[in-house]
Amino acid sequence: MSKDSDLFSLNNTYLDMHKSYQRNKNDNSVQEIMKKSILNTDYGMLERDPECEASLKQQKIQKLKEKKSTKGPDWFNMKNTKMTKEVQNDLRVLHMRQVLDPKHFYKKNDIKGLPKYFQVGKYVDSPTDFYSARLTKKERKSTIVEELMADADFMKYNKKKHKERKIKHIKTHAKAHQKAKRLKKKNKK
Amino acid sequence: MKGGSNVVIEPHRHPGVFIARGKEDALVTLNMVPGEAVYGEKRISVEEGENKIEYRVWNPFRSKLAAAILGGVDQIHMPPGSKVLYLGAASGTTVSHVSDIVGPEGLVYAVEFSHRSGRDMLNVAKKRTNIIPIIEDARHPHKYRMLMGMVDTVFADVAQPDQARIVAINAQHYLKNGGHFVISIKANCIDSTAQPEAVFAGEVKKLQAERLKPQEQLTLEPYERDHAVVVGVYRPPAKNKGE
Repeated sequence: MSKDSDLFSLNNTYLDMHKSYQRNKNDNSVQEIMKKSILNTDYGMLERDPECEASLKQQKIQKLKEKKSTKGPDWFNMKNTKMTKEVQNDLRVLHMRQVLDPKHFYKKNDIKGLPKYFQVGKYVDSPTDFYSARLTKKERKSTIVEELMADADFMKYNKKKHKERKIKHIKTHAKAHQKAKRLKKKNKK
Repeated sequence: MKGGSNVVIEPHRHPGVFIARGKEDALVTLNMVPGEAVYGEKRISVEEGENKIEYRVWNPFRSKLAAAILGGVDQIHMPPGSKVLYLGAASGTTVSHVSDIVGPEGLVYAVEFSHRSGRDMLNVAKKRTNIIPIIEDARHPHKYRMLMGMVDTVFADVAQPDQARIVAINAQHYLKNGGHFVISIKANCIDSTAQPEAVFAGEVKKLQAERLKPQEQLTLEPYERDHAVVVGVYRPPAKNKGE
């Protein structure tokens, strides 16, 4: 020890020549990194990269699927939203909205079928809005259909129209209607 | 349109633009700065799992570009990622929507001469990193050459008698060959005595003389009176005839 310290008289350095600088066996950082590597197995013997195991056709299909899952960068990757029953009903209502309100005129409908890429959102109310420009807490619903069902005026109008339609149908299809009535009676007996 | 009501948002035909469908339809753009309205416009929030995104309603009565889109213009030539030179930015209301459309990878050079409205525009540009505000006279494009690069599209809404010349001189400086221009022409500002149609035709002639080839013209009729939007291409590549 003393001999060694004479040989290397480095006063202010902290170099411990006796300490073994072997890699600590508990230190498994390298192993951890190698865990993700694909080169630790007999990679060279493999016929094909396991990552690209799918055939060329399958890869192409996969790529197309990924591409179709969004609308693309031109529309900021709008996602292909999953169609639920509620959303589907909302979209149908939007499609037929010209009959919702008798006082509202709509131009020719340009909606063709159900959209593929869409999002469901809500208007944000700002504190500068007047009361008439926002819905009350009670009026707020999670879907358009629910909003309509909660609207008393709409329901009243809808009921009236439905009744009118029914009466009209009875008048124009008088014979068929009577037949149906008779059948009903017969079945009751 | 009431706060709290539901809408469905769909992509519009033009890249970067969306439609919000509810009881009433509205043109919307994806808000670059969620949580903030620029000029008190309505916002629509969409929750997609964890991340929230926001759209801003674009009023065609306040913006000539929105009016042109609703009027059915064929192309606006400002897809996400493009660079746009916007002459006559005013308070930056339409500029904010253009900045939404071109997105974080695009750029909008917004030129405005008036200090009063330029100040408002500066405030818009503070929040939006893709707007470069320029308070300078658009008649002298060399004065802001230090701030500029080549652009893909020039949009002009300057309402000056020499509008065609202003656009031409800016196109010569900054518009790439085959780049496009979109100009809104206010007939009253050019010649208040002549018929609007004659004024539009005269302006189109002037543009053609400057190698700005008009491709489309439409009036902004229900939204603005005696306004026209002209869309065209600058120095288009020559067509191959021999082959």
